[in-house]
Amino acid sequence: MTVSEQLDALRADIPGCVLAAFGDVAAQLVLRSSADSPWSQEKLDDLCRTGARQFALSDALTGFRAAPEGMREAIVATRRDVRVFVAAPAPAGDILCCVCRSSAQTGQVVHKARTALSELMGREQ
Amino acid sequence: MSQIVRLRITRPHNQTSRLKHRLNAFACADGNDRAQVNGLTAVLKCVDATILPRALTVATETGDTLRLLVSNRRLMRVERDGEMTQDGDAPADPAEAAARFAERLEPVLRKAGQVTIGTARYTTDALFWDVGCGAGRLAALMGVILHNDIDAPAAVDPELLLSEHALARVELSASGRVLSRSSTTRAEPLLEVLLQHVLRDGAGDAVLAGQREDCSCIPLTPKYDAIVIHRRDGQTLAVTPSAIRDHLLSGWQKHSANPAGWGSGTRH
Repeated sequence: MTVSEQLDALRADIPGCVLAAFGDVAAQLVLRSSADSPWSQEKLDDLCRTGARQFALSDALTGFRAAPEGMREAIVATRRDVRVFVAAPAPAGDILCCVCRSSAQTGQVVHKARTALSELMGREQ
Repeated sequence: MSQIVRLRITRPHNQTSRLKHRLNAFACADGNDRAQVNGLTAVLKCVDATILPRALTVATETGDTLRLLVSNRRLMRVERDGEMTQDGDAPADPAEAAARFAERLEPVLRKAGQVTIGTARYTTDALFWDVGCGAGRLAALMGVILHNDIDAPAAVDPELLLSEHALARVELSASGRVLSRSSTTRAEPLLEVLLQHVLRDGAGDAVLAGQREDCSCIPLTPKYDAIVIHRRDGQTLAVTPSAIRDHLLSGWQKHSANPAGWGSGTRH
């Protein structure tokens, strides 16, 4: 399965998910995405910047996190959607983002995103 | 977290109406001899419903017993198997009291399959100087959702959720001035890191309110989240139980869409 196909499968597996994107948090760049309608590159870049900000905060809170060496997670609610970010353990910069219409069951979205990112990282190795 | 418990409520006399209503509700839920009720939640709801001084006796099927002294919706003391949590050195801080009580309640009630709750009167003289703690603070500490009304996420006011459940909280003005701050001793260092980071972006530049409006959640442990809310008129930083995460996010979305909603209430 290609990265795009994996993102399609992830989006299909999460009810109300309008975008699944895979990128690099350090470069703040979306490499692949799957969406129900086209997203401009500016919007994708903005999404990645939001993720980078969240993980900078997450890293600042390292001493308080249960598993600082593991995957990092962040959830951002905007007026229109909820964005779930999952990042690979440092120093890897892989990041996966799911944009959902609803804030219900964010725990399940995080779990599925973590699983998908693990598979994508496995492909790279 | 939720467990199936068998509830058996003793039928006490002369209860306050709120407590009576609460116990009757549990008894009705027990009509089929099984109720989808968490024993810990049931006990905390009883504490929250007790106005006049009462001793709540909680017995589990495993033989553990707890005696909770409650007054004015505050848990004042906890005895486990006849042993008092505190004798003469009652905590002066509600957060400290909550931590002590949680240590007593959790080991017994988390594993409880059947809870029997009884009530009795007691005199308040012995507890006159006790501070105790509210059920909401205990629920937040133990990651328990106390009120049924947050089962409907869209109806929840995030301000209410934070005031009831946050373990630590800072309110900042648009210019970054601290308007109010409350936390437990344990959460204080975490709050400090949050403050320093939120007031400066990754490049070290000052972040002003109004640049964006969103509600961010960073899971810290399986039980607790760090929350950062950006508004036009300031920011809120908090540490909250993960159990309220979805309610908080959806509540923030709903109230931020309504200009008269979020931010119009009184902040503490």
